[in-house]
Amino acid sequence: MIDAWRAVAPHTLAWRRWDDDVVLYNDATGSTHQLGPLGGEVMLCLLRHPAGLDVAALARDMSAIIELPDELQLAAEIQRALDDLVELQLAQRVSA
Amino acid sequence: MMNCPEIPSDPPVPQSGSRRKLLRGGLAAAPVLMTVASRPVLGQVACTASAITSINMQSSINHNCTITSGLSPEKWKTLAAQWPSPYSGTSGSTTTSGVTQKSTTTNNALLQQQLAAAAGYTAGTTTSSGGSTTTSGSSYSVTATPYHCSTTGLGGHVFANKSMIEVIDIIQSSGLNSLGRYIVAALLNARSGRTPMLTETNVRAMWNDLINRGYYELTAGIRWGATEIVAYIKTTIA
Repeated sequence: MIDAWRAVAPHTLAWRRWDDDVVLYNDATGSTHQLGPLGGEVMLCLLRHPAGLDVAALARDMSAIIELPDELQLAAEIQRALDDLVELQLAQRVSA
Repeated sequence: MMNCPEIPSDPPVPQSGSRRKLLRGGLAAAPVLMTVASRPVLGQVACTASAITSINMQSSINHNCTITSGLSPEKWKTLAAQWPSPYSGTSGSTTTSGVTQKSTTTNNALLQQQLAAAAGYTAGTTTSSGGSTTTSGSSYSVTATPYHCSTTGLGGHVFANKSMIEVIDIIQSSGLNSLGRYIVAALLNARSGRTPMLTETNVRAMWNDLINRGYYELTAGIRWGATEIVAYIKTTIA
């Protein structure tokens, strides 16, 4: 069984991009979040795929827009972003 | 869905080389930079991503968005006689004479009252007390709700004169057929309070935008087709 992630309550979210950051308002929690470049792109990718995506699929999607420095691994960075998004109730883990 | 007309459409995928460069440089930063939490009692509190964790754990008690209790199209088909008003999954008329009395649960009695009210319940009285319903000298007619009508708010002519129950029963289920089935289920789920995060207004917007514009725009720059809408509605089904 593969873990996948999807956005929580997409209908409650509104977002806007400022430079590379994404500012996102969650009407369900009343919270406004400033996401960094990777966190923002991961969140927007989850919104585009409501059925959910696993890390590998996210990495494929992200690789089209992100070039990584050699010392960083994209999958690991995406996982870190997902963990933060889950903590903020913006994303949730589902079993695919 | 929230009304945020001031938010401009923003292409979700950057196209320029400079954008790629900025993203590359920004990877060292934390994925979440800051959260501003609105707290109805204590006012607004600004703090860092690391500090907000405990607050969000508390707020999750009051704002649990992940509970799904919607019913599937198949389940609603089996519950055709119990659809929430004003929707009806059955057709026919019922006439009672004299006094009939039956025991039932309070919820079922309320549901039947709602169905009767929506279907033009006439003459006679119904009283409920302690889980029992007494109906005296009454008659009412029920008509299965059409898919495209002012009651559903679903525009277009995709399903012609088919009723909601006929659409939910379509066997060859792909594309708009599949979408129609799940739109019906989503409407019923929303009406019955099973999906507070997905309202009837949201559901109508999904359908009407898709058939009018070819896509449904969830939020600025995020467009869904029929496949994505069905996938999303499935996430609201338990």
